[in-house]
Amino acid sequence: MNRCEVTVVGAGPAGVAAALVLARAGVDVIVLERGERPGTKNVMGGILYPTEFEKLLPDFPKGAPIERPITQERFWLMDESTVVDLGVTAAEWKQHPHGFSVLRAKFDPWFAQQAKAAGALIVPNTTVTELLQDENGKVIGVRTNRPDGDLYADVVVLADGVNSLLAEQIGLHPRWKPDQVAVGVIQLFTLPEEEINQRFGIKSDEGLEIAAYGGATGGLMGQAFLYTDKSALSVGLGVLLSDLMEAQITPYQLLDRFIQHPAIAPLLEGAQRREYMAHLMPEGGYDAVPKLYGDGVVVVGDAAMFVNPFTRQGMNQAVFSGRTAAEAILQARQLGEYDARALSEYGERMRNSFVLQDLRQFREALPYLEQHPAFLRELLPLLTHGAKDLLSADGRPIGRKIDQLMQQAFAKQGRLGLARDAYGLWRRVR
Amino acid sequence: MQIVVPIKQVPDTMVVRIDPETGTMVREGAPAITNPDDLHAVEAANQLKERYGGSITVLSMGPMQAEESLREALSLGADRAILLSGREFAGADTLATSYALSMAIRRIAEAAPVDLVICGRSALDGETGQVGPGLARRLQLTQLTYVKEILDVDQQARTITVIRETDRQRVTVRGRLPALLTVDHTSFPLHEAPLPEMIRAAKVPLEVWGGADVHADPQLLGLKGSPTVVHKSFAPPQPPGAQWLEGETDTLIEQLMELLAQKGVKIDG
Repeated sequence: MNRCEVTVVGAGPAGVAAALVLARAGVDVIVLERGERPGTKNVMGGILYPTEFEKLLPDFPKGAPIERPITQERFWLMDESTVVDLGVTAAEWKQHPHGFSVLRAKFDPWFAQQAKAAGALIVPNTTVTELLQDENGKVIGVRTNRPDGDLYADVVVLADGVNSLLAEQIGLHPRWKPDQVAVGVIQLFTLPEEEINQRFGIKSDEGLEIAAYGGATGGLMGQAFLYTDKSALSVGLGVLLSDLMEAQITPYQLLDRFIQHPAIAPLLEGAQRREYMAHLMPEGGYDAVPKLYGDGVVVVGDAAMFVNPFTRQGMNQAVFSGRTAAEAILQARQLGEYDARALSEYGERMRNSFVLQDLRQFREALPYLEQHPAFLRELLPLLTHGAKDLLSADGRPIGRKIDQLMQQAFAKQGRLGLARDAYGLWRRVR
Repeated sequence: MQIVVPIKQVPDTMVVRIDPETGTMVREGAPAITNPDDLHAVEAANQLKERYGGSITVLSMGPMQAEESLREALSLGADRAILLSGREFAGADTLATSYALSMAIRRIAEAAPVDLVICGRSALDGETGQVGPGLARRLQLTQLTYVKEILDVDQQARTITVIRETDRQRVTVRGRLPALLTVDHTSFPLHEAPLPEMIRAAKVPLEVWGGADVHADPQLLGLKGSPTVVHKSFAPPQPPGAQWLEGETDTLIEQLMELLAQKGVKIDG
């Protein structure tokens, strides 16, 4: 009979973080990964924040295959022709970068290597098909797609990513709905490092991310992005699945439009399209977070919906949850008990952490935005259009321009409508 | 019986593109896989181990990432994995590769004599099929290429009997041990590694050797030891004039018959 103390399902950041902490404490831990190697199935659109990685690996990012530190963040509000650009940069970010661009196909195997070096076993090309339970429903191991493929364990860590069928199997959460997941698509364009530096006005040890809203996603709920890798540009977008279904548009079509936008196309000129990736992202928010633990089982990372589209964090929270789950397992191990009560410490610590507090902060914001589509479809276009209009010296008196904009703003929803909606959103975020 | 299986991690040529201008392979972004013929060599070794006992050592030369291929081989039955890795090995052609591997096999043989070396016929990326025969020559091994079946190994008489199959012939051959076999992906079908073997494969410590570890002459390794000069390479041009038919099978057959008739091809029956 195959046995280990802890089985981790999935060698993404959450699973590897858990395995790393457990292996360091001398726990016999096996990570099962369905891909040929960690990272082959993983997609990320944006910045890797180092905070949680540093807690596990004090020298981080030394030795890690990072592309560039992100030293400039830009927020773009777009329509078909116009961009309103808000940029943020800080001298501190040069000393201690607050984020990095990475290529997951390189980064994830490196991170997994750190857990391996600590003594965790990583078994690739092996898919967990179901959880094994005893007569009381306690999770006692996993079944894989391999011959003689049952693996028994004291605890199973579910780090199997968005659409965790295993958590669903044991009733930790109902099946995700289309308004709880977003579709992320990303294309990688290669361009010589020097050319990137010149095009974006940066040095080789600097990088930039553009997050674009409004017309960038065709007015759908989500955001588009472009960021600099060492000698490539990552361009993509993430949009709520339910919005895509309603608008009857594919993510490729949206991304193609974004890529052809007059503000984006010149940045990609002459670049070679090398890769296309797509993935689901868990964006159900606070209310979609599953039960985080049960008898003999904990759920971490994307599988636990620990992605926050508003703070734009996913990996950071994955690593935090993996580490926290591992620490709770170590406590339970001292007691020699792995039932739900012994593992409840994990849920408690997650509730008190930034991960769940941030998700709670925005608990009502996403549904509110969905119920008030005027924000994305009317107010944002009006802002971009208005900015262009007010700045144009076209012979019209500025007073008249303001009057006209006001009239357009109020035409659809009445004078109070927009103000009420804006206040409503503000209250839901505060 | 001690068996050594040299294996190679290669870019998956199903995914790799050829740059039409330079004629070279665009390796960037192509996933790395274990050379298919090599996995069948491991399988052949595994079948022999099951029949006659002994141990299998897998050996590779390449960057640290080749560990993945060695672990895959371990999961299919190998007991020990050695990686030749280091700058000194980089840029090797088939001559320098067979030299480095032969030196490693000599070192392996110091502990216990090597009875068999089993190689994949050729690698997906180079398709030369030269390393196996090169090793046989350097190590003075009986060379048995294109092996379809291994009928018998007689450890007392120190012989091996195999069926070789080439385009024109199928021959049963008996040769003296130690021998070198090459096999391809059409024989020795792979078994699916059971989970306990996957776990064992993850546990086996990887041995990483440099040029000095195998007492190799640095002048004969890597780029320095590689006289091969690529004069020109090109992507094979698309054959001209091919006509593609698309649609339902029945209509396709009709269309095809009509076309053949137009071209004056006579079809019986």
